[in-house]
Amino acid sequence: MLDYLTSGWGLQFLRAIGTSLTVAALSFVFCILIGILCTLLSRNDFRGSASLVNLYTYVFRSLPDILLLILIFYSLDGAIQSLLNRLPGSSDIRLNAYVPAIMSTSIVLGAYATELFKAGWADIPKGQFEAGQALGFTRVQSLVLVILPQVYRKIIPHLGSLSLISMKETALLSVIGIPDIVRTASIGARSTGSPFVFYGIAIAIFVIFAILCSRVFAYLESRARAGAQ
Amino acid sequence: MTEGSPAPAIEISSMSKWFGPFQVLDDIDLKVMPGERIVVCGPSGSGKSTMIRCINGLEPFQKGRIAVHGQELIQKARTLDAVRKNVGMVFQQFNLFPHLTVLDNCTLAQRWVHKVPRAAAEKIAMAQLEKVRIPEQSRKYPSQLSGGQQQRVAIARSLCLRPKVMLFDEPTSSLDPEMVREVLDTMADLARDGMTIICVTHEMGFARGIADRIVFMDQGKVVEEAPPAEFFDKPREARTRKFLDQVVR
Ligand SMILES: Nc1ncnc2c1ncn2[C@@H]1O[C@H](COP(=O)(O)OP(=O)(O)OP(=O)(O)O)[C@@H](O)[C@H]1O
Ligand SMILES: [Mg+2]
Repeated sequence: MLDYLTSGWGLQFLRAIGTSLTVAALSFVFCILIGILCTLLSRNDFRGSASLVNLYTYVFRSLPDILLLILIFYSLDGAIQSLLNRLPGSSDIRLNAYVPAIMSTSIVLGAYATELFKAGWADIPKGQFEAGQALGFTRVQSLVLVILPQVYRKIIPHLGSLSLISMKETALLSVIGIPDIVRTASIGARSTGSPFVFYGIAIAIFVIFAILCSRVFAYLESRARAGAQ
Repeated sequence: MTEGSPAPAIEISSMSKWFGPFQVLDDIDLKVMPGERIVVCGPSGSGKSTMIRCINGLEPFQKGRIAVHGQELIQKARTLDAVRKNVGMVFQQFNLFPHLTVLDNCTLAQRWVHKVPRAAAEKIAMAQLEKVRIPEQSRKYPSQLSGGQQQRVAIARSLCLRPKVMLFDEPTSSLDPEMVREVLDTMADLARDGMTIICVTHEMGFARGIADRIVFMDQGKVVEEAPPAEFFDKPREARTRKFLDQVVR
């Protein structure tokens, strides 16, 4: 195994880890923003927005992620390309595949995040909103200072799982040609004929990530629990 | 503001409110002078909460007008903010922010709404916690306090914003009996300091001892309005008498 790692595959794997971590981290951040936004929309007085959000989470709960990812990826990729081509003097710019890739994983994960935030939000007593109003907070202040910190405390354990899912989701990127950990492992396995070594390395990377993640979230959880139940 | 006719702290005139087709408040008139202490009572569902919630804009109303220290209540963010700066509210369920310490509960609105610097806000908060007699709890979280202590923190949190009027909606109704006293005492202190108070409560002893006037509501109407002695000893209306028979034994 060490032979493989020193003969260039080690570097490949390091790059792949960088790629997967970057995509995972960015999609994690974006999916949380999507989750908050969709929760606000579904709480909006305007009925239509709530049904749209429901449709979004319903579709993404019931269809395989990989199908949606591919679908979103190619439509976003096409849309962005044709936009770019319309700009004068910029024909034939090849868009970095990471942009649509991160957007599509964020949209897939955003559905999970939306469900989480909606559930956490529904748990906040009405009195919290009223106390905020009575004290004179604006809507945004009340959201940021009063409501979201409480939603965060309620859903922090689930945010831990969401971070793991976003890492796992990066494996889907291999089907659209992005050299993530899984793709690197499968190329290595094929070209060297040692699948157990290469897939073993990939699994080890995910396991280590999972352990580190659960450490971090256990810490965040213990901090969030200070005092408040 | 001339000597002869001081401006009222709160003026509600011909105010009506509906929840859908259901009329909750029916042509309410009420005038409260600065420093006056009003107790609102009446059977469940008579619209007491709804009325005082209208005063700081937590509920919109459809007819009539409400003015707080001359500032008319219109459902516009700007005027609501102006009115809420003058009006503090204490709820039955305390509604403290569970993720913040007692001290932070008391400084949050000062710092973000009134833009008071942190150190000054904490000083004001400690002074108010002193007043409600729990300065030693300032570093604790609400969940670590008893109900009575939580309600006193909620009162302090409101007072930190220096309101001219305080609204209380059944502040002792979710407390264990042994804690009712401490909260009523805090409110009595406040009354002694000259705060304008409107309080919905079933504590008739408190009403008798503190109130300048008692307002009795039934089915969305103000049925009777009188000083405590008159209200308890010779109520004019049959409905008032019936209510009093039920609550005062
Ligand atoms: N958001 C609402 N939507 C529809 N009806 C409501 C709403 N809030 C209150 N009501 C109704 O309005 C009436 C008055 O309610 P309100 O809470 O003001 O009564 P209350 O006098 O405070 O009663 P209690 O002593 O039980 O607190 C009740 O019949 C209640 O069912
Ligand atoms: Mg009520």
